[in-house]
Amino acid sequence: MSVSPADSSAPIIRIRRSRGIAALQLKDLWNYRELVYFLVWRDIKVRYKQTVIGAAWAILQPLVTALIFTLVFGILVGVPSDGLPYAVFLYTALVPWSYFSEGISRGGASVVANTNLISKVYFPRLVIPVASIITPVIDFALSFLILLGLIAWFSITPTWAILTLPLFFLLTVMTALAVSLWFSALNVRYRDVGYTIPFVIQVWMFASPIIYPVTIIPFKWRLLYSLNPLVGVVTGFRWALLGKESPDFWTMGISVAGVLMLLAGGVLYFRQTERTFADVI
Amino acid sequence: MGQSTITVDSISKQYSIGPTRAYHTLRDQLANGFKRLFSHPPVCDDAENSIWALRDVSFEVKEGEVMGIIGRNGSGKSTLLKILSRITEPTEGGAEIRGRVASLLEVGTGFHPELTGRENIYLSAAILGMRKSEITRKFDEILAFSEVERLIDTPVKHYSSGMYVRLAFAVAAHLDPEILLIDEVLAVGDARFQKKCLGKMEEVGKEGRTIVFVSHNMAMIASLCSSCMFLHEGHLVAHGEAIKVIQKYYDEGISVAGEADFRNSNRKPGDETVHLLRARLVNGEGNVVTELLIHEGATIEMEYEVKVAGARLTPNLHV
Repeated sequence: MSVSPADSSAPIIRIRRSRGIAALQLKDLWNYRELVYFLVWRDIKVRYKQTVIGAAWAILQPLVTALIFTLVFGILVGVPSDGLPYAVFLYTALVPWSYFSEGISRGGASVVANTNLISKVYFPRLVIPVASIITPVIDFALSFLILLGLIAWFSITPTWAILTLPLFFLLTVMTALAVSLWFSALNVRYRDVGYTIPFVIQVWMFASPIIYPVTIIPFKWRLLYSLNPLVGVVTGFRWALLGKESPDFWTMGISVAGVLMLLAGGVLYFRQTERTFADVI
Repeated sequence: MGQSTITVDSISKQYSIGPTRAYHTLRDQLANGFKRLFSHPPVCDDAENSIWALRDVSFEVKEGEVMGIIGRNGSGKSTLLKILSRITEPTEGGAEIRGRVASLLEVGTGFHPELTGRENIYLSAAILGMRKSEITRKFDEILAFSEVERLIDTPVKHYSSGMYVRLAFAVAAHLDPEILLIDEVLAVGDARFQKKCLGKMEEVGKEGRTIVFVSHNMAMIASLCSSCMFLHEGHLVAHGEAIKVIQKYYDEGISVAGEADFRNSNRKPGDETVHLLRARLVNGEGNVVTELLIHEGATIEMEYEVKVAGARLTPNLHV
């Protein structure tokens, strides 16, 4: 490319200590979309290097979990499953849940894991957590295929509600992003966060209707319970795919509002602290 | 030509030092209140626990100019490049840059050891700011420049360090920004490849690109740069014609840099058992030097004070 001396179109970069509330700079993020692509591509490439069965791990992990849970909770304990076969009831929830837990554990560690990039090259820092929650979408897609197979095996006919599934998946992604933004930014300054994430995931799983149906939660606690966005996600998945547990307006509304608040706060906190990432990391 | 591309206006950068602020725990922070989560670290007045890596540095770089930055370790050279690259923010002052910037602060930015050479070319180039289509177009050229064709589909973790550096620099050399910021990355690699990189850089400079680069290699600065800047302890000491600034650097620096003397210092390195008093690098002729020729014999002299009776000291040197 050629460089003309008085190139008026050349971007002018102003460097100053920033004050006040940071701007969102979504445009900047959009300009770096190829970098997001390459980081996702890198993580996928690296992920199953030096493994024998490779990407089969992506399918095997939730499948083995489902098997164990079905054995323990479905058969031994006899947890109710809204009249559905427990295996399919559980696996329908486990697929978005696996995405979510993988997303926040990758996302939460993402900024610190990319220290070498943060301290050596400029790009909008949001690229990193965004890329880290896109990577496990591949695993999600693979497990989802298995889920479809399972639904067919148990001869469950999905209703038109299946068309709403992308919305519920979007809600899952947004929740994973919101949590990742908080954790990844906090993790830069407080490495305690890295040790906290596994516990958070464990508690969160039992606080979501994954191994049990929403209906076992007493009605007066339902609204509070719905503050957990995964309640909306899981109910949504079960409704869209299995035709059970139709989500009521309030449950969904509260879940969505909860996510939006968490996401807005997360973006704000991330943008606010990213100015000092390179100095603190 | 003639228009300034980089204008730096009294930039300062303060870092806090000492163990207290390095990593605090979440508990401490929560005790300090939620408000601090969103607040900025304030400018620290406490001189004990802070250090000014840069203090009131102003300069301009004209379009097409190749400027060198010299100074001892810890003089603020890298900090300056980090600020211009937008990796870190200045504490005070500001700068304005016209044009697209690429910075090479490290050899092989973004390289992943598990990925092959081919994959790393794409990854690193993308991280350094190249578009995918641009990488595809230049791929063969980059590959030829790197001289690692035979191993291009082998993970780079199996590369020798020389091959790794060649591949990394081949990517960097094909960046096409208007402004290039380079930290001491050319110091690595064998002499022949270094020369090739220099040639490529000169070519780049002649195309009207602005380059700012840090080096300890005075010969390189003298041959490549039209102007030069000398930083000392965060202050701009001299700025102007490269040869003159280098001369000034030599006049001020050379007698001390090859020797560290702690005999009169209150902060002698060491512990309860032993203190380092003095260390120096001596060449074959018995002179204290900062640079050695590759074939020259050298002695490292260290003077210790052993503070515990009967203790025996076994010095170890890690290179």
